[in-house]
Amino acid sequence: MRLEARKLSVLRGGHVAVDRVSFTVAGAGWTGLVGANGSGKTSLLRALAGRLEAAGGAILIDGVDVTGDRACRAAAIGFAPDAAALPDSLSGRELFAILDGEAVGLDPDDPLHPLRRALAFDAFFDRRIGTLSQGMRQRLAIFTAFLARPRIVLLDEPFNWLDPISAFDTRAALDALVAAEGLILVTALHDMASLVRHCGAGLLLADGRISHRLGAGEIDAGRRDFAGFEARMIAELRGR
Amino acid sequence: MANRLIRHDALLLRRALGDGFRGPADVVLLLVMATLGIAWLVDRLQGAPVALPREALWLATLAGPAAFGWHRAARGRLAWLAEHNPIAPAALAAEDRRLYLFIAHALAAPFVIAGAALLNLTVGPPGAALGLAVLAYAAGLGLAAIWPNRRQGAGRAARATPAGEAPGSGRRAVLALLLRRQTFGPGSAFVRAGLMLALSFAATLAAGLWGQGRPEALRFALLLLPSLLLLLRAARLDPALLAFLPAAGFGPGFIALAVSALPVASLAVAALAAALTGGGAGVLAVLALGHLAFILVAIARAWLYPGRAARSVELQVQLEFAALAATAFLLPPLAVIALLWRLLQFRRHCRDLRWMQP
Repeated sequence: MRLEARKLSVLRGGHVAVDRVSFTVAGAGWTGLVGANGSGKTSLLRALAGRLEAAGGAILIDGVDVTGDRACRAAAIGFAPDAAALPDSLSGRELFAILDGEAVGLDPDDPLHPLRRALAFDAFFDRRIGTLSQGMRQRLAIFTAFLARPRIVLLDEPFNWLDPISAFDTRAALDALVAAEGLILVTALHDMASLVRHCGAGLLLADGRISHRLGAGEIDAGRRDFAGFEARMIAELRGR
Repeated sequence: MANRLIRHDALLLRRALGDGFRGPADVVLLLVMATLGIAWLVDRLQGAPVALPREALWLATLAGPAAFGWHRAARGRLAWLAEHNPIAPAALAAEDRRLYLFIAHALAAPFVIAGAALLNLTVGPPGAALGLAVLAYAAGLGLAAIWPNRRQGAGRAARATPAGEAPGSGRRAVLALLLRRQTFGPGSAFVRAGLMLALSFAATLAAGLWGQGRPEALRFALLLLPSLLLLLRAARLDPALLAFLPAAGFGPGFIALAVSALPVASLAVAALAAALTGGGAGVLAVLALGHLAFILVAIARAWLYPGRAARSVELQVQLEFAALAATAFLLPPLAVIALLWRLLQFRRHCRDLRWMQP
């Protein structure tokens, strides 16, 4: 599998949120997308996943230009919605049933079983979403991205609101899916620790443009000297 | 039903109705009100002097804008689902979208046709209103179908709401946060509310003075207009904040007072201005009744928001107050009893959620 953006631009509220961004993610791997608030991470992920139109440039999946076909992108790419947008009056079970995914990950042999266990939403699966805490909603939202078993998944700041145990277990389950199932995973992240510990590549986004591309070598170096790596990345994000 | 969009929205609608009319008593109340409303309508239609002038046939052409608006609303809903909801793939699939829009019109068209048929009972020739309504509906639908969608993301940037000054703490903070949403202009929420009330007072006073010696209907309307505009703004409640208040320990009494503060003040300044300019008892009575109705609706909404989806609350309150208004025409004492009963139930709902953390 291969996901490619070529000079991709996205408009939000009349201004350019993503400005001619180009990158390729090929084969199994976890790519981290890091940037300040408002740098264009969410718009970029939504456009790639078909949730937004592309205002310019091209999006290719396995070499096929799908820029004008949002339905194709939405069907091919798993994307977790904003947890706040989940329907308040439905339970998680009802929502998943509509998505034909109520039983996904229940079977211990299912590759998604570890992720379902890590997210541990079965304890509140029958409660109305409107009565759940933000962290509980986030756990449901993350799993919706996987219900159709896509080979490409994009998650927007997935570890926000998760408690330390859930966040730790979820990262491990995602690592396993990437390694064992050949998943292409792109996540917007706000913490450098997740980037160096789990990602094989990274993109720094500033003002809608890629300001820095992190390869495996630089991320490896970051693991060895995390404090120095974090300081460099923050300076980069500050524009220095 | 294979279509996920339909399943999703049908379940949401069913849940909204179920939440609104949960117990057998709720259903009985609704049925009684609906029966009384229909009885009133039939009674009026069977009376001799209800025949409408022939020009009223043009009312049937309102089916055109209705179809246009409904189609645009359904497409707007699809656009929202396509961007924000887990069923986005279905909301973007052409076949699913077509079926969704078809069902949306299949649900709306019978109401339009029923309205036109009712019109046909009071104005002839037979079938004319129905024919006009069907043609207008088709034209409105056709126009909406070819009307270009606004390019996604190309619209004007949403203006960020400034955080404003710290609203203080406790009850004062809640009041400030509610007023911030209900008012506009510079300064703190309290200053803004004061300015709006002063403006309403001045406008009502000016309308009363200017209207002296003019036709009574015009003067009446001018005296009511400033309050109406203020109440329209005051109707902007904050569902998220109101839903949170019981969990934070605020009781239904305080919540009712908080959402009533601005309309009560509005009533006071409007009544004073109207009285100073010689507004009669009629104006004062309409002002009082209008404000009272507004306050009751606001309290009902505020008590129902906790633990409920805001949209379902709006739907329930609209349906119940429409049924109540119909009942009030026929049997005012029953309407008063029903109103008090429902408000007590809403209050209990709010009270039971106090200190309950999600």
